[in-house]
Amino acid sequence: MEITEIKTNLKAIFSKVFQAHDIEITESLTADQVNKWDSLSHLTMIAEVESTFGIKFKLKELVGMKNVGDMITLIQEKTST
Amino acid sequence: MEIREATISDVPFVLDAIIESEKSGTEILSWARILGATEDQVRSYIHDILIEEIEGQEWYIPNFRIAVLDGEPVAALSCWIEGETGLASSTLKAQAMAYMAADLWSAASKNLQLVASVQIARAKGALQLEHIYTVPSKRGQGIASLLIQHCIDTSRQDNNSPHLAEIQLMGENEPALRSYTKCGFLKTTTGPISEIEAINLLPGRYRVSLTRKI
Repeated sequence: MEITEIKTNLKAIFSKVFQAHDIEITESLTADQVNKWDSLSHLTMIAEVESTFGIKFKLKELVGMKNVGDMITLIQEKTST
Repeated sequence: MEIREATISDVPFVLDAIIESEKSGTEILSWARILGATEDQVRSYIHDILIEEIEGQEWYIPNFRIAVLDGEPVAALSCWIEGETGLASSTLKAQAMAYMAADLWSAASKNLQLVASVQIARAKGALQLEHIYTVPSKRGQGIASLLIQHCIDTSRQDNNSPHLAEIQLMGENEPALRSYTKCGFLKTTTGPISEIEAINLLPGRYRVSLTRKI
């Protein structure tokens, strides 16, 4: 899947989960920069990402994501197989 | 007495330390109440998280320090730098527990939200001290204080030495509060728990954050 398509989908998910409607999806984006991104909304976001892209993250992948760029890379890998 | 970093062979003792410190001197194990699980189930989930070795949160074996007396482990605590791996420790821990207890997680969403609403955010970049536990027969001998001081002293040797140490606990745990105050910690934040449903899930009515400059 192309990065632009992944970002468009992530923007819709982040907008819904974090109620951040004007959010810009960048590779360097982290939880610290988004107001309602806490431990529980993080889990809701992950569930939405898995459902939207039809993928499943492993635990090591989930806890290893440092920013949105890491997530985009994993989504690309998983949707290209 | 020897103080050393925990290894995988310490998992049984570390599990005891986690479960007993989570109960905070009561019989209430909040994870069991939140998830609607038995204590054995919670113990099994935490065991599996410990084995996974997830950095940046308290349930990571190399974060534990063990006090050993006459060849036997007598006390433990977990220490780590909050936010060092990118995500908050609470997010990493919740992620790990959601993964291990996937079959119970969605049914527990209301309880999870209640408990999350009364948590105190940990100070990013601060040395966190959690699951401070001494076996009952060795309490009152200052072993926990030695462990705390050991963690603070060794953190000073790191390149990115933290400037603050933080301990969070239930405010009703007065013996622990007295002990940490003697170690130089000051009460900085108190989070009263007003939601009656949340009170039933936790081993106390308010959470306290204690900090000490390093």
